[in-house]
Amino acid sequence: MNSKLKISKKVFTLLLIIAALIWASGGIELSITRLIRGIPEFFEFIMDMFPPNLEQEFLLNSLGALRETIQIAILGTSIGFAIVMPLSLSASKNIGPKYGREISRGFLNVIRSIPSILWALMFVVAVGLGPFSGVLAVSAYSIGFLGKLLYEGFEDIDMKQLNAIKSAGATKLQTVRYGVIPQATPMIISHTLYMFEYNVRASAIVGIVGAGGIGRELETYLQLRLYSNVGTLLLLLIISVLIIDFASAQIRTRYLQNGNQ
Amino acid sequence: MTNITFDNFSVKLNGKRIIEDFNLEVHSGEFIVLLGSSGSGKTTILRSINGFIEPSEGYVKVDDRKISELGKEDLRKMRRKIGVIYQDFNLISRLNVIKNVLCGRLGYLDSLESSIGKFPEKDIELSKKCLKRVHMSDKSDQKVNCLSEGEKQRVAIARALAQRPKVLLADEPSANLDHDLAHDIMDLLISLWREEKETMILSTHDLGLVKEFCEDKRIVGIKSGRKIYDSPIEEFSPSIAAKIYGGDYEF
Repeated sequence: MNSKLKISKKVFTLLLIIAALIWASGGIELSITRLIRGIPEFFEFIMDMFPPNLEQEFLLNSLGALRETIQIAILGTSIGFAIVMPLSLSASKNIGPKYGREISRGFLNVIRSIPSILWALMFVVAVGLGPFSGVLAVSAYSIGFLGKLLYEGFEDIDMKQLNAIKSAGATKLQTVRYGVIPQATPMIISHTLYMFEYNVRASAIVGIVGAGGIGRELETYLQLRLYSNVGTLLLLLIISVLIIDFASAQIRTRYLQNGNQ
Repeated sequence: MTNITFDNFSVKLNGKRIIEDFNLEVHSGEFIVLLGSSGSGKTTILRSINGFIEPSEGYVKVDDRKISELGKEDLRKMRRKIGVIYQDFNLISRLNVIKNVLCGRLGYLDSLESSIGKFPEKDIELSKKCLKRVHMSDKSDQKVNCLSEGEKQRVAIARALAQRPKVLLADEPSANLDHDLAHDIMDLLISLWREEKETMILSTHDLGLVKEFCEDKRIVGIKSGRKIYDSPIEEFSPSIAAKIYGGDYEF
């Protein structure tokens, strides 16, 4: 009886996945022949980027755009972090107040449902073209995304440590400061660095709709079909993303090691 | 003077009775041993004294005030008078020893200043004294993760002492320690009680420990959330031990 139930459950899950795939393919015009025919064109596009444009003036200009992208990512992550810390504390089941929890969660869920590029479009309309709208877009997206990571992290803390602080007569603020923050610090650092890594990529994308940084340059040269310039920009972006990911992984492991000595 | 009173005290959790009709009067400065097997309700009783567990019936009073009727601020002020020592120490693992002891002072300090890490000199001095009392002065700057289990419990005791408590609750304080360390900690707790004369309620499942350290103390035996014994250890008999632990128990 039980094993039959298990089998029918498996069959049901399989059918559900197949149904989802059939539904997803409707109207998408999946076509292997188109894909195969596209492959040479794709490589042609890649080849057009080589050799990348390494003229000094263009390179300096591109590095400037890259710097702006990284600035957007740093500022956006920081502003988002500052706003999301109190929000995620109040959204976590074990720390937040009863009603504040639902409100904070609802707010974070709504914010998270809007992708970063849409935020960028809205802020470009609101505050105009340029990196400032990029910073705002990245901050907004960070709030939704980092908020969820953090409040789930806070829900995993050891409540015994927190209760020990509470039972010494600590106020709410002191309880958070000494019962939550010390044990949650590695989690907070790890998630925030992850968010920053993600935001470097997002900051490159938001430029495409006019919110500053390397994305704006990419968009321009793609339009002008100056692919060797596009090649340089992509190369710079890939190298910097790899360096940032590596550095952030280093910080994370070092910090965690120090913490667990 | 009565310090802690349980009257008709019952606790229900998820529809299940954890404590049933528990009555107890603890006098100021008294040392009480709560003896019962694990799951008998000892921790629940201790946690209700500082308001972490609410009664479903009856009440618990500390210094003549019903804990469940205290407002937030009054409860906080009540809690700072009650030091707690835990089985798992419950230290803040990423802070150093002295910071952990200072956490015992939080209830008396300015919320904002202490939260940015500013502690008054006299509280730091007091915390150092408490560390000295538990012979841990030389480890003041170490992270607590680096300490041995016995040392951790000493720091936890110092933290409770830093509260300048009128009541000390020790919940199986030696259950996670090996034999020698357990004896050290029991020695320490009893000598502290002799000197400080605060009320002490110590819970344990370990009858051997009780016979060794608490022969002149009042023993309160608990079984399935009910009080089944309340006398000094001299009157303790194999039949009572069997009642507390269930089945045959070698006395």
